[in-house]
Amino acid sequence: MPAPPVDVLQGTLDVLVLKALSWGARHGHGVARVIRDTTSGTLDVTDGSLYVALHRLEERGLVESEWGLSDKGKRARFYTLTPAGRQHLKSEIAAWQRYAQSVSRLLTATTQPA
Amino acid sequence: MPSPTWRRYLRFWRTDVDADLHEEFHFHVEAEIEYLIARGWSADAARDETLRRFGDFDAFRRGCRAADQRRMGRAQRQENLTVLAQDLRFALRSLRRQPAFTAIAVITLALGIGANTAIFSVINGVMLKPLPYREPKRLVMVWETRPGGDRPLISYPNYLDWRKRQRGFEDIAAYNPFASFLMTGQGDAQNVDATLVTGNYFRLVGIQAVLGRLIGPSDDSPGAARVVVLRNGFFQSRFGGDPSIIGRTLLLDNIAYTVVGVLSPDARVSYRAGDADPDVVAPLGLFVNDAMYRRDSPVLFGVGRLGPGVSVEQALADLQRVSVELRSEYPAENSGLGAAAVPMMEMVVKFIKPALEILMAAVVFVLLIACTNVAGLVLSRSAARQREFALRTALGAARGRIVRQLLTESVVLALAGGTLGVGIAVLGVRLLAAAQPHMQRLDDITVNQTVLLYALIVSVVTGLLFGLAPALRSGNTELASALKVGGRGTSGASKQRTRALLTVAEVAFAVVLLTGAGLLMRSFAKLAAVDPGFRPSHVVAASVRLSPGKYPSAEQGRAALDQLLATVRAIPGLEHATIGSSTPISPHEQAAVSFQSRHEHDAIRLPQLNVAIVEPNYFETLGIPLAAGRTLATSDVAGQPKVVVISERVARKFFANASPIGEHLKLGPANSTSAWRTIVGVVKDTRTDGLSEAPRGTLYLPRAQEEMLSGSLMVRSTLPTEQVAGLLRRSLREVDRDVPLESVQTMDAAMAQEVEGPKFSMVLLTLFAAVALALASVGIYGVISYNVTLRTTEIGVRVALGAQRRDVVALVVGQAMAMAGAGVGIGVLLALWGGRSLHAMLFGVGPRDPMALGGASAFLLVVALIAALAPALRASRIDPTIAMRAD
Repeated sequence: MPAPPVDVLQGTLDVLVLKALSWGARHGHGVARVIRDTTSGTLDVTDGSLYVALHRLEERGLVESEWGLSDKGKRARFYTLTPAGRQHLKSEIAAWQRYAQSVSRLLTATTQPA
Repeated sequence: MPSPTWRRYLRFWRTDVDADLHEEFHFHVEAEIEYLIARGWSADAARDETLRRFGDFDAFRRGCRAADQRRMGRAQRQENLTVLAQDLRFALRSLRRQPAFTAIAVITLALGIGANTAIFSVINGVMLKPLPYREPKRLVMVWETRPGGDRPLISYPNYLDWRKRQRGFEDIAAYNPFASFLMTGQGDAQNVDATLVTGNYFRLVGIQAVLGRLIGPSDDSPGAARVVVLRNGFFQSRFGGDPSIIGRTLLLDNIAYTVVGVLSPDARVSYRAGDADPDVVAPLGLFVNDAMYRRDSPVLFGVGRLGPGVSVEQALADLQRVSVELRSEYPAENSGLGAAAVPMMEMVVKFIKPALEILMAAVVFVLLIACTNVAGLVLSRSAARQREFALRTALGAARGRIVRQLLTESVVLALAGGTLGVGIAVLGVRLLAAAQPHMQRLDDITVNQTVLLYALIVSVVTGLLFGLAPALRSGNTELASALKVGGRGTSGASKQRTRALLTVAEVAFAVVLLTGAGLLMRSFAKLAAVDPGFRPSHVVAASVRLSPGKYPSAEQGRAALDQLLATVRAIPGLEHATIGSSTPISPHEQAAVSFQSRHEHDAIRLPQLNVAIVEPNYFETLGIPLAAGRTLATSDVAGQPKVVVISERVARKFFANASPIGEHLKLGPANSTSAWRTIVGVVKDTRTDGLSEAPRGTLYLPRAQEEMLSGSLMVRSTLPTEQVAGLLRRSLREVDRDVPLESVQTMDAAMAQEVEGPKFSMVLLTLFAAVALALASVGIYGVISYNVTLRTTEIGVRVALGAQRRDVVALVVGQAMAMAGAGVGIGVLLALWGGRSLHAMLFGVGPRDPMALGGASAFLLVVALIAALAPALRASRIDPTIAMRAD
């Protein structure tokens, strides 16, 4: 039986979306698929909230959107990272790693600190 | 579901947020269902799962839409800024490309805006800026009115009764700004100007002390300790700003006063026409037992603070009610008593307001002319740029964009003109202040924030005003005809028509200004030509004031002045020296006069006449001609029969054609104890109440028979003024070390001061008219000159067909004169219509003076002729063979 899905905070969602775009332009559905597939459904993310995240990121100038054709030849809105978005992603990842390491170091400690 | 084609088309122009979101979500749902079906889900289950995974559609759509709208709003603002920056860059580049056009336009606008800003700074400082008092709008000047009396004053006892019985004002205070003291014991003796105020005055108007305290109710009685308050400037200059002055005593008229306070630097004790503030302020109450503070002697200014919610009219009606009571209670002194009340601000600006209004109207006209001129320039320039606009339109520029571009250029021009104009205004205001040192509220006139804001608004409005018509016209360019090489477009002729109309308007405005200037010039000439009734040249006057404490008896005072005169006359070059209680062109003391030949029982109806106490040689020294009888003689001394010389006006008014010589008059009512005096002579009148006022009529009493301690020492001498002043000062010191010699002035200078105000208005209006004239002539020249260029081919044809040179000249000049003639006609009508507003400033000419109107019209026609001559001559030299090949 899989573990219950974990709530995702807005800031975290933004990073996930940026990361999903880091390999190249994707439409919203593509972003949803990447997140769902790589996390195997561990994270409780509704697809609609991804779109809100995308539009907010566009408002902040971190991603750009353009209409294009999907693999199946349908009109779809594609999102790409802007340079600012790529920069933002980089610093967010670094921050996240520092945070995760610290938390994990404490949680996995076996001896009582001095 | 593909979106309809029209939506996509729409999106090309402007993003449609809702349609985009709809399409985006739609795509997601389809793609996810497809994905799930590919993984083996049934169609229905896939649909349900997709919708479940998506969540609340409406909530997410709202979230996305909000973000999109914020993003697009920001993008739109960014876009606007970019377009503005583009327009600005383009405007600057295109103005730089035509430096001559730009320079002329900027200078023209700078003149117009500068003149406007300068006059507005004066109006702002004098008329708009509130007086430096607490809630100045509630301050009202009040005075009593009497039949025949015309000064806005009130007597002390009536003031007390008004104050006690009235109900419209919070309080009423009174002051006498015309007092002065002789200050001794502090180095050289010095006359100090003083204002005497009631104890409630400072509190009522709201003036603060910077040191010590101000005068209060407890200081305001005859028996109170004698205290004074110093003006800040006087405190600084005379006592070096030393705060230990508080508590020290000053000797004023030989009586000790304790200094209790110093006024704050920006305090104005009162506003009385054209004068500086007093050096010291003392309580009026100390002096109210003097004869001048009787009920029948109005000598005080009254100021009231309106009660909350009370109007001036209501307060006045209440004062009139009290006056009716006072009339019946004191019939002898108060017969005919009434009341008047006018807001303080109105009183302060009363004399300068008409001039400022006229000048403001004048500068608005100048600005209108400047606008018209620049509009004309822009029009011709836009005619030349027609192909540029046509090209841009052809390349897809929207008409609105071109109009906006042209307006941007106009506003940039106007702002440049405005900037230069503010510089002109700063200079102008400085010149104004220098030229008009006696102007009311001079210190308040500065180019401050309000004025700068005004200049900015005027500049922008100006830019839109002169830019709008040409810009709209340019938007209408017909592509095909304008793009043709050499094509001038069909709008060329209509543009010229617009320019011609603008020029007609310019000429009309210039005629109005020139007529106004002409009227003021003629007034001024008449005023300057007024015979003052004496010969002012080579006469030096100085005021002398003996301390009453030092010369208690009439004989002692007389002897001192005798000695002074003798000392002065003994100096070579100063033999012609005399003394009078006033100079012949300054306001005299007035008194009620009874004539033995006319019985007047009602004391209040007695005529008020000027009274002068003079030396026998006064008339001869000042050149006042004798009309009948004799002047005063050295034998008219105390103990001899009392005599009087009257002026012609008195003689004509009270004796008609009969001879007044030998008749009798006395000062005061016929039944009073004063002595009857015999009229021994009649002299010509002098302009005692200013050059523009008819003289009131004067009685001359011999000094030897009267009491007199102060007056004017006047010398007719060919020595330089400075030398005369020095000699007089030395003589005076020999007689009495404590007497200062003040206000040394030649009578010529005094006369010049009389016409200073009218001269100021005249010079300014003439200056503005000159600017208007220059601009109008440039306008005419521009239109005619450009017209000749446009009609080169036509003129060439005419010449080829046999037209003579003078025909061509006549053609061009005729066109100019038609324009000028139309403008002059309209201008004369405008001047006739608006002339009445000048009425208050005119002297000796009517507002419809044909000389001024005719002169202005003729002048403009001549200027138009000259402006048209150069283009006309150029036209006459056109070679038909070259002209017809030009296209």
